[in-house]
Amino acid sequence: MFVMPMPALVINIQVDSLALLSGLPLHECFFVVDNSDFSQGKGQAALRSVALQGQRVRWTLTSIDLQAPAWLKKIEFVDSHVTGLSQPVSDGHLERIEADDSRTARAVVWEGLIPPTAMIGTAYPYQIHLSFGDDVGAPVVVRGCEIEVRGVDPYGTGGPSGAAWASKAFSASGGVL
Amino acid sequence: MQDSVFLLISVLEALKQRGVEGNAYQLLARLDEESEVGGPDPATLRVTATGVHRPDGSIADDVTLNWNVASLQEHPYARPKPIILDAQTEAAVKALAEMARSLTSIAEIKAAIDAFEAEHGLVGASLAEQGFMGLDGQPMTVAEVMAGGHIAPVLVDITGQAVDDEVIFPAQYGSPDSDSAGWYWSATVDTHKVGLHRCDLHIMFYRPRLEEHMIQWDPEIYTVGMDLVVNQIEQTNGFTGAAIGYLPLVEPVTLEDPHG
Repeated sequence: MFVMPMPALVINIQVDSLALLSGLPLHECFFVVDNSDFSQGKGQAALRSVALQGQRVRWTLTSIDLQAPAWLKKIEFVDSHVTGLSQPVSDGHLERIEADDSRTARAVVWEGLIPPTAMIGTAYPYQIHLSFGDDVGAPVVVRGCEIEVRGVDPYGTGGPSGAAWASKAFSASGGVL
Repeated sequence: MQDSVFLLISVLEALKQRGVEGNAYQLLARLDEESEVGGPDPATLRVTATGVHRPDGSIADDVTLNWNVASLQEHPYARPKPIILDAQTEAAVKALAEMARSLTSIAEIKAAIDAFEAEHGLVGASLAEQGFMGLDGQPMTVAEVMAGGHIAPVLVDITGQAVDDEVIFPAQYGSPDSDSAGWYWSATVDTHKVGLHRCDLHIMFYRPRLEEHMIQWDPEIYTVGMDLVVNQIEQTNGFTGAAIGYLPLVEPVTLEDPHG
């Protein structure tokens, strides 16, 4: 039997760098979308993606303003559901996050597999570190996105197959089975 | 990634010395960590292009260079703009056209044109004769134009060893930017070809010359060399630092509501 490889979950972050650094509210300059049919909040600053155990997840970044490049500095899983910026941009004092190393953001791809030990029905929050321009200076950290893990798709299509989570009711229940 | 090579050129000096060498300054190239902005000598044109390659050698992120040429001592306008006739002159032109229909001899027509020109200036004036429109929309005098500056230089070609060796693939594109005369140059870089390469930028200047109380702008092309350093870095996975692995998920903590 031919089994389709599970498609990767691609999470695309679209940022209007200048607007973000100018202190505009996140919902006017920071948009996250993915290619999952079950995600909630697509196009908003706090995306709740749905992924399966073993599924490949890749983050990509698009700078809306072509003259103001932005870089995906880091994807960091955290233990609490907090939304918004780590610190308001508008007060002019960005929190400086020490970089783990000197790797230039251009050369780093943020991609990984959902481990088989991930708890089904659990939403894992992560925060997005962005850098701008020359990829120097203080990264801006945006919180609020998360990945909700669901069971392995028995058909390997990556799409909806189990009746249990094909319904909107599952999503509405907050992922609790 | 897109990279800008921004050159600021001292036009007066370049025209005086009949060359660009030493009169072109690399202002800022948005580049990688290894690039020199200006370098120890700001007149040294040196650009670093760093390609990101996957472990198998394929290109993960290529480099496109874009050249922007700006000038010191530039006119406070973009290009010479034809000056629209004022209402009085326009009416006189119409009257001349009407009158011309009733004239029968060449001598009469010539006399009419002479009379018109005596009052309103040359008929069928060329762009140079019409002069330049200043920022306020008024015509600039010849003296103002000569004293005020020069037409912006334009990059017209990119040649040299880097092009011959197919390190860069330059191409000219149309642009809505009138500062560059409607053109700009861009080049993709083959970042497999690591090392120091050299190319020549051919820049056209316009030398003003007074001829019968009109300014003629004579084009002159000068060449300046540019170093291109091609680097490579290997793409790595952000989570593992090496190949793809499992995501470092963190179990979310559920805080108990102390008042609940």
